[in-house]
Amino acid sequence: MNKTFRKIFVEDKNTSKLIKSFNGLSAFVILALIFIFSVYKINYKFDFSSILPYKNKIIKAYATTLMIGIFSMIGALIIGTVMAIFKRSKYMILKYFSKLYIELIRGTPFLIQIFFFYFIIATAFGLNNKYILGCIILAVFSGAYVTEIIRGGLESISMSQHLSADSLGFTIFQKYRYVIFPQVIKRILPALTGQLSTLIKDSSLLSVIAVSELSMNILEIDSLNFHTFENLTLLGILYLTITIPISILSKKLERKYHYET
Amino acid sequence: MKLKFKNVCKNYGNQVVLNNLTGVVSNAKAIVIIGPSGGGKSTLLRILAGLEDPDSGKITLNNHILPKSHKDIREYRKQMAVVFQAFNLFPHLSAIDNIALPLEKVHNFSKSESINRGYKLLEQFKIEEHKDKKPNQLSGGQKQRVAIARAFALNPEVMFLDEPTSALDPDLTYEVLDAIKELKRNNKQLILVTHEMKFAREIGDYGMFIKDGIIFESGEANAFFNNPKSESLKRFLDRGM
Repeated sequence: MNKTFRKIFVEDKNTSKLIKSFNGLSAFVILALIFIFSVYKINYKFDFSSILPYKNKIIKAYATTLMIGIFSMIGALIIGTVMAIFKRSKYMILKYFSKLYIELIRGTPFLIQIFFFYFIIATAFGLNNKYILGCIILAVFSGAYVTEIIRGGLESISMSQHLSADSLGFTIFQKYRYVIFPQVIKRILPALTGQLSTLIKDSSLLSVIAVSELSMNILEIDSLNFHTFENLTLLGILYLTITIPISILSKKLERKYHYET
Repeated sequence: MKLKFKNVCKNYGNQVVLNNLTGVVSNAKAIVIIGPSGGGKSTLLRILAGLEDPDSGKITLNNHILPKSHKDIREYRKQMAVVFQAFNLFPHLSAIDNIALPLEKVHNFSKSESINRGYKLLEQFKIEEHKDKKPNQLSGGQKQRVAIARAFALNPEVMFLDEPTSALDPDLTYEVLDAIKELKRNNKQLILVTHEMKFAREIGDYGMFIKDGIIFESGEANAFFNNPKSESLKRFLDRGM
């Protein structure tokens, strides 16, 4: 291969930031060109000003999606931790409860779960607030995946670490708090933040039970201004403004917890 | 150290690991357990250290009786300390924090006291310059010395060492053996599983030879090493020379 070509396009440990940015930018330009070309082909003129009148509606919906995301992630983490502990429990009923939960949630479409919760469980227990209900549904759904992530992390810690902590006289709680979980967190962080991004995107499905979140509002605006391309482009960008910071935060945390094993 | 055990059995599945062991050691400072790999030495050590329960049998170490209930075993473990073959340091903590964490959390020292004590021990075992390194930045010998310091820091009644040099390069072995001699100089009671015969002779005052889950021979170190009675110990020692 030509030397200059290699230097510009093939990554090695000497590759400078400049060359990396150049490659990143090129990839972006290629994608943008495809998009622009498509728009050009269908001969469409973008007019984002048509969205402006709905500014406040969008801000409110954005905040709703953010809040639902935060609360359901907290819920999912709690459910995931508890269920992962249940799954390793010596009490069989807890173990099987956790297994059943994971199989049911992962084996059925989210949409079905939303309807099931909404029409049956919420009605039976008199849960009327759709936002709380939405958070619960998302937390229960995402919790199953978080359970598996945490379980995988716990299982990846070798027995010798448990043995070592036991021999030093740690209580079970101290062992998990100071020895096991700090190591688990480092290993599961990438998967966990990926799950958080998925959760943010999945919250759009809550529109089917009329939770007034971002996607639902944009679709409502769409039925008023008929500027579908602009509306959907904005919707995509708004989701990215949540998910990209999550990725960046994840990278930062990974570096913070970084140590070789 | 007084050690008495009677009819100790341990199976893993169908495999008999310890086959009805019985023994009495009335007065020893350092018991060395030797024997071929897979013979049951480490299992016996883990049982004595309270990390595993025997299937049957009763053990008395000084004035402790084993096996203990789930609740009491932690108290027992707090008074003992174990050094493992694979070091088993906590990879997310620096050398000094590896020593300080159990002092602070298990033995209720203040944080600064724990760190001070950890530092003194790192000095004693000549690794103070590496105090802020994570285990992966340390050599095998350094790791094992940190592990020994961590165990010693707890001021244990008895220290158990499970093949502490087996995972080390030969040229790193001596520094760990030096560290163990330091324990002996500090009058620690030791129970040690080792393949280093020369070292075993040097440090042990009581020997135990375990093979195929059976104690073939045991006794005062002098007679045990220099004048073995059983054929299998004789052969084992000859080969180990």
